[in-house]
Amino acid sequence: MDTTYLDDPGVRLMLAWRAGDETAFDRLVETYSGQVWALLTRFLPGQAGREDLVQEVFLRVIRARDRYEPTARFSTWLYRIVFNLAVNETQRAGAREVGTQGLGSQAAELGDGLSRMADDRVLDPSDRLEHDDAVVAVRAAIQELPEQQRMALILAKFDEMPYADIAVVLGSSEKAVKSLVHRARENLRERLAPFLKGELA
Amino acid sequence: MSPTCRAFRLLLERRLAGRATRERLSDLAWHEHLFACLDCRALLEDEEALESLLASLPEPRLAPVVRQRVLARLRFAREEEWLDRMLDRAVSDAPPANLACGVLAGLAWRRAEERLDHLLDRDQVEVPAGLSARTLAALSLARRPRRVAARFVAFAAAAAALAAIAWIAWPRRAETGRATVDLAQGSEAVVRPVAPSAVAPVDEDVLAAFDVLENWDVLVSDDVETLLGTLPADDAATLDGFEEEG
Repeated sequence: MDTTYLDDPGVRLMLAWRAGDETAFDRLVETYSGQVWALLTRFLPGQAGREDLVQEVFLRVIRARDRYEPTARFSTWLYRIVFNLAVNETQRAGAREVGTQGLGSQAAELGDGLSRMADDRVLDPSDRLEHDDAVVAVRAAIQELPEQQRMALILAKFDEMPYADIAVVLGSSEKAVKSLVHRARENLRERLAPFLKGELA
Repeated sequence: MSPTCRAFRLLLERRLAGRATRERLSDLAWHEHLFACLDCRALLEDEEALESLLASLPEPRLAPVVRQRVLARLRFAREEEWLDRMLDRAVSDAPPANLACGVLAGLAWRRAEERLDHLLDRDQVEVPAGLSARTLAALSLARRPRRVAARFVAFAAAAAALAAIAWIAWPRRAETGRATVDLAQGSEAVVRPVAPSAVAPVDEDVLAAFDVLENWDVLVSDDVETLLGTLPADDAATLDGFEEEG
């Protein structure tokens, strides 16, 4: 077994749970569910059903219990699950959107309404600040980034994750991550140009 | 792009890769390169403004009620997953590693009783494959009272049979002495009937003893002994040790 990451609290909990300590899993969820939620919220802002996605992330952890090996920090391993799941969800949402357009605007409005209702279930106070124009614009600009750029930027900026770990999450190289972050910032600067001028003023 | 521009942008990139804050970036505003390069100054200002905008995004917080809801649903999923794994292991006939010894012993006892009933009901004398020493020991314990009872019944039946034979044989021998056979009247031998009053009534208990004797073969063909005879030496030794303890 690779002993490099045995000091990582998440790895310790995961190994304890694998060894039969059932309470370790609850502690894993309590410790990391907030981070998973934050990452999903930033990656898929306004997306309905994030609660189900958090649950699905940990269901995948459950399924991986027997074959888990600590080859990275626990959060790195967990974020890789989140990334894969979020990308799948984005693609599914895209397919749903195409289907909904086919059904006409009335059905689309109904779908949007249901999505809003579903999201209201888990709306936290921070979500309600969405009315702030700048916040909405920044979120929209982030959401328009290609998936890998978006995840690289979020992990680098908000989770302060080293590029080497981000590379593990994305299944990429450190050099590629550096390039992804660079291009993501470039894209954001372009899309948010009016807000940047305002910020400077 | 000039070499000095490249050097400055590399420096900026390093700042952004770390724990970038607007303040940390502002330090670069005094870099000598910026006094001569408006492009790089504009870039630094944009990056500072972008940092501010990104920092203005509210921190997403998972509501405690949502966390509890997720935990509850995951507990259910884990129970389902645990059950699946236990069933998988049951199919492969390997005992689950985390079952307590007491549970295993209880399972072995119950299985032993079921095996015993099965053997006795169906007169099955061969040792079923997969019986462990523990199970055999449990079988032996469950079997003991029945073996003792069977031997007692056999002994009692034998004693009753001897008594019955003695009881019946005595008056018949006396009667034979008085009986006459008329050989001259032909081949039909006629035994003069014995007067009922001359024979003592047969006791019901004695008849019952004869019934027992009719089943004598069953009583002596002890399934248990046959079963013990077919056991591997190790298991037989385990049983002997167990019976001595008992």
